[in-house]
Amino acid sequence: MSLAALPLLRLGRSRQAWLALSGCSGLALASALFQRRHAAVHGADRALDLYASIAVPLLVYALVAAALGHDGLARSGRSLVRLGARPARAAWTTVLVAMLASGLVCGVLGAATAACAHGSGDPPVVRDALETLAFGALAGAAYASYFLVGAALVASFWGRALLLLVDWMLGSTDGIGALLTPRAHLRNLLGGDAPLDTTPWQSLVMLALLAVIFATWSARRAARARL
Amino acid sequence: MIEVADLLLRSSSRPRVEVGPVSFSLAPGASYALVGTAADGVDLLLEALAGEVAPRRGSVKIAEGPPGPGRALAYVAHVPCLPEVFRVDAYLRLASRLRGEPPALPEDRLAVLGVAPLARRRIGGLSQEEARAVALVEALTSQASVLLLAEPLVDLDPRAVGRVAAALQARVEAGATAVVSTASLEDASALGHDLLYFDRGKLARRTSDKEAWAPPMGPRGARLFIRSEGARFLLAELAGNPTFDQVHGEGADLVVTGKDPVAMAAAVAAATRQANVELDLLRFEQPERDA
Repeated sequence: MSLAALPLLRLGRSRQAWLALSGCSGLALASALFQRRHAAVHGADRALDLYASIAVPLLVYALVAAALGHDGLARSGRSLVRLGARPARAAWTTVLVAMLASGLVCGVLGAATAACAHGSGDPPVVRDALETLAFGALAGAAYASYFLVGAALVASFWGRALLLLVDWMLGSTDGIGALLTPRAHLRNLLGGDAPLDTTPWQSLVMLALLAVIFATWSARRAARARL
Repeated sequence: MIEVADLLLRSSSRPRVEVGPVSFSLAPGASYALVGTAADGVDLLLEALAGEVAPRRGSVKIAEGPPGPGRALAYVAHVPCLPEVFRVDAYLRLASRLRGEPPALPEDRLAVLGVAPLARRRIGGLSQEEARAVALVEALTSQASVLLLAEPLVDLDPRAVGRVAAALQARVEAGATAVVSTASLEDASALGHDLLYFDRGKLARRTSDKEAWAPPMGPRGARLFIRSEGARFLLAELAGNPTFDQVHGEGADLVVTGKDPVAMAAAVAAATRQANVELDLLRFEQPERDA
């Protein structure tokens, strides 16, 4: 718990994180309210398209940056490691805090967006909101671990920024490269195009696998890094 | 006990600095000053002792094991690394917990350097001088058996300078090993029992004869550290010159002190011409503090 205080306080006190949260939430909810006002038949689908393609990646990008104190994954816990905290434990704590915070925020925002934008052609509102809550939470956690790979590779913001760009370029396609990005699987889960004709269930499993693999790889790399 | 054996280091960032191969051992219950600039590699060596730089060759052992932070080791780098979101008192409490030490009142620990009013401040809002003082407080009041401090008297309130020296001395008397890196002979002689001089990554001299190699220069005086292949000819020229209070030489090294820096520089230049020698190193020091 002592180690979790550092990324938690960073998240709570980061102005950029709060700005990103209000901006991305405002965008997703404004889109949802627009669909509702125009009584769109598939309002939730349209609003969630914006949520998945813009709000989730940008929001998680900002949350991860805040949890790391805008530094690399290994260096973000250096002040505690110098006091005797084990590097692996410090890295895992930061990874888990970033994933949990991102999952929570993206899940709640997804559920709120689905509920606000609900149209007559969408699935029942409660079921739709709960499914979006789960998919959004999983996608948020997967995105966080994905960006943490960049932060474990390069200490500056370029590591995370490069992976954001890769997600945008590869994840927007339906080729084989899209299978490695959270974007393609979240889109598939929310009713969009599937990468390589995968089923939503397969995307759900892939998203969970990506979250675990990316988190493990980045934490292990950060634990071995010299400060 | 710190054992450094055949150690070879190379910095990963520019400007490239190389250290070694170098071997030495440092006994517990004593303080050591690594004297030199960053270009001489003393900061890189201190990082290696802290376990933050991987040796390209050789080894560093602290108490028979590899270096690592925690209960055994406290390291304060040039730019202290502190968690910016914590309050100072919360940070000191967390530090005690992570080091496995019994908790102590943060205000009492901060009072060691006279900075108790910082206890309730956020670390992110501290000035660089205040942050250094907090980092030094944490190290000096911890129970770590090895203290590694980079330039511990730089960027401090002048009133804190004497307190750092006293606190360090108390830790050493209690059995700790203290290693400081500094470019100042004044600071080195104030803090170290043994002085290890580094020149471009090589251990040039190890001495405990501080009076000879870091003689006091007085509040308005100056000190020159000279290295030359023709040092003995220079010594002959400089000895007896009334410009200098002290002239001391050994091998290729000379150290001279005097009261008038301009006259000293002129006398050294004249002696260099007279002796027809080239200087490999000329380091000039003047006191910065009147503490």
